[in-house]
Amino acid sequence: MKNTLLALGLGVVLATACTSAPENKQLPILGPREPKVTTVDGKPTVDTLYHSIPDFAFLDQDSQMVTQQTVANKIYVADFFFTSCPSICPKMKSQLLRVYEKYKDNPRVTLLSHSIDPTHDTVAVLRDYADRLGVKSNTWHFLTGDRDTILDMAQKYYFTSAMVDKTVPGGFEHSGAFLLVDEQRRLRGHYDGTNAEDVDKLMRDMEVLLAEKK
Amino acid sequence: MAIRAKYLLIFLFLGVFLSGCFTERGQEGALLYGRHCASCHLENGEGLRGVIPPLVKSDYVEKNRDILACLLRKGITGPIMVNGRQYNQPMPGNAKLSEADLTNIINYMQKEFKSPARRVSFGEIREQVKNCP
Repeated sequence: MKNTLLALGLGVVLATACTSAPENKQLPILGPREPKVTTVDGKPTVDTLYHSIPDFAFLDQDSQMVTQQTVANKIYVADFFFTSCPSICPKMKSQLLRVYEKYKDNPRVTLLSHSIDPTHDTVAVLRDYADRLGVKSNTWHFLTGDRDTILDMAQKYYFTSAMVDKTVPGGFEHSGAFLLVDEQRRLRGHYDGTNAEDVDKLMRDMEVLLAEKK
Repeated sequence: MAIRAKYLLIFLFLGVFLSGCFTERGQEGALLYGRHCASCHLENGEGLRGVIPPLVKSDYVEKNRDILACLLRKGITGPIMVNGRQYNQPMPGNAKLSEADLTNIINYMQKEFKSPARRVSFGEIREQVKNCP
């Protein structure tokens, strides 16, 4: 009898533990942070400065300049690729297409695919690529610009690897990461763009981010 | 009797080892496809919309059945039509694929993606690569 009661009790505890209302989930803010001390009314107050993506300006497949203004008040997903990439890019692009299909009509979401081979990936080449994928530029921008600036952006601000390496097929070494960036251009998530389950997680996290109070 | 049992054991062991060999062979096509083809054509052979042509029920594969091995070795450049859609992304060739590799890859495509419609034989592939255009 005692045992049955105990088991029942345990069962109830477990059941409630699992069904308790989900807390308001929050995504972490990634990257280094710095304290910023300001003096208010003679008293020092400390603010946290989060790592954020700096201002940028790249051309997209429609020859439009895409800048921080383009992503103002939006969340966005960034990745790095090149159109002639024979390794992981087709897989990344087929996964990013899933994200695009889900959010193409959501004005608060943008996708930025940076080419790390901008010499080959001119506006015309990106245009053709986007057309073939059947993608509209107001949601998904394929970006080209100065190569070193783009590689620097990848390494220093998106914390993903992208570099010239003549020994690998295609001539560039890069990770297949998708980076989730919030409205204040802070990094909120990092996903493996070649892994369907990780991309599912990205889409769940995008929902969390869209629901976040400003 | 003891000797018989010993033989039986040896046979059993041999059987286990050999079956290991054969199942390995069966997976060879999948391994090769994963290593050399899947990053572009993807595991399920569907390719990338508009950019990389699909291998699933591909009329292009079927039409080029007699030079498939050559295409895999030498690659493809220029526009091609696949299932009514034009694609223009160069496919790098892989000259290192052996005749056995090519046979395994093509038969894997046959099994998984139904194109080409009929299996190829090792002899067929050997003849094919001798006369590559």
